[in-house]
Amino acid sequence: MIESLERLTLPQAATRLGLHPTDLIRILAAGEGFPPNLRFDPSHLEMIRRRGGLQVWWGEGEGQDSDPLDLSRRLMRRFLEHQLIEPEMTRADNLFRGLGVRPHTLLRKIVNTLIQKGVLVSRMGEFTLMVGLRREQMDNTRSFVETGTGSIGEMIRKT
Amino acid sequence: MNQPALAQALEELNRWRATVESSVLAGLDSVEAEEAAIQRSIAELERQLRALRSMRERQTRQRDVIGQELKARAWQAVLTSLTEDRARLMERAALLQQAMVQARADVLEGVREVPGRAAELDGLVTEAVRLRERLQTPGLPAYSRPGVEARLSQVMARLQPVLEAMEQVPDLELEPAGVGVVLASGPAGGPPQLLLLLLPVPYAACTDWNSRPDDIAARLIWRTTLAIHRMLRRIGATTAPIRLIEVEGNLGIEIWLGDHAVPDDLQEISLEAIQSVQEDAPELVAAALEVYSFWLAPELVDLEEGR
Repeated sequence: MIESLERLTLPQAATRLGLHPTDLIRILAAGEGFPPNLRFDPSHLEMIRRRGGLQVWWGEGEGQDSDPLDLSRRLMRRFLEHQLIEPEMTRADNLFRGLGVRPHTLLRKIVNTLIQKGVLVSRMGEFTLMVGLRREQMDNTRSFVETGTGSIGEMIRKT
Repeated sequence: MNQPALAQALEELNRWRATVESSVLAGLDSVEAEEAAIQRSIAELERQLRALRSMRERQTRQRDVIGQELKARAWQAVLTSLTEDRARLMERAALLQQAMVQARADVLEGVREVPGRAAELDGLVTEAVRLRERLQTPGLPAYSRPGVEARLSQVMARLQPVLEAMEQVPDLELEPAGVGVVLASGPAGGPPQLLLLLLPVPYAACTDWNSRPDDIAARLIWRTTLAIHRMLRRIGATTAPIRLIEVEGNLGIEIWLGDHAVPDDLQEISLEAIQSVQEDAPELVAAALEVYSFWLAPELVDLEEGR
């Protein structure tokens, strides 16, 4: 049982944070605080979360039984709630953190479509790809979140 | 009888003509002979020129073949050394994993040999686990949290010496051995756009990271990644895209620098970065492994083929 009290290895810390180890290192490299022996305690995890802008957008089991349209509406609602309208952006991996495998795969496809169609905008950030809502798509997005219809709804149906 | 004056004049004219014609013909023969000689010289020179051109083509082909051969041999040497170094590293990784398991067991056994210490340790561990679970309980009243946290902190402080001893990396006491990290940039003959690092570790250490041990191979990847990111920050290329690729079973790290101003001393900076991997790496010291870095000239590596 004492093992459960040991400090985390880097892969364990990465799993806990929902990151690939190399992404975790990219965040750590941006400042002080890299543990030389590669052992992580809760304060390290908190620092990485804060420095890297990590967020968990989905609770356990959330989205598991959702259809593409429902999943997309929930996602776009979060963009509006978090005011992620360009130039404000969030880490692309935040969009999926917490989701199970099936909804994760589905939502990834949807997000790719929304970027291709110009609803979402992406750019490479300091640590990873960043995503935000295109300003001129705000009204469309509101309407989609409320009714599930409009041009965004059409895009999702065709995905 | 005197000839008529006209006949004399015509005779004179014929003599003059014969003299002039003979002189012109002699000159013409000489010019034609000279022309023929020049034509022969030209033909000879053209023949020599053709021979030289043909020789040049053969030499060029040979030079290209040698260049390709050199590249192929260099690449083969790189792959062979990576494979050998990887085998050495994995052998020591397995030994170190075993030694670490044994060392942890020894620490716990040492604690349990002290009378009363085993029960004390078990009590502290049980309490710490229980307190952590309590802190994660959603319904924990806010007023209780500081008290629980303070108690957990006290318990953990008492466990700390044992936990730290368990984390120690035991020295394998082996002969020092070197493992090489290969660096190359491309394209040849222009500013570097791509920086490639080849590590003597299995590619799987990077893809199956959550199901395999955090051994020396994995740690070499983490430490190299840290060194790369620090280097990118130093040269102002923090957003440079990085790709992890498989090169004959080894891990390759590709860094796209094409969208950044690359300093002239990229080679020195990169080599310095890799040398820093050795610093503060107790697992490398314990396994007596020394990391060397080699810079491969752009002419010797085809980055496209390397993939």
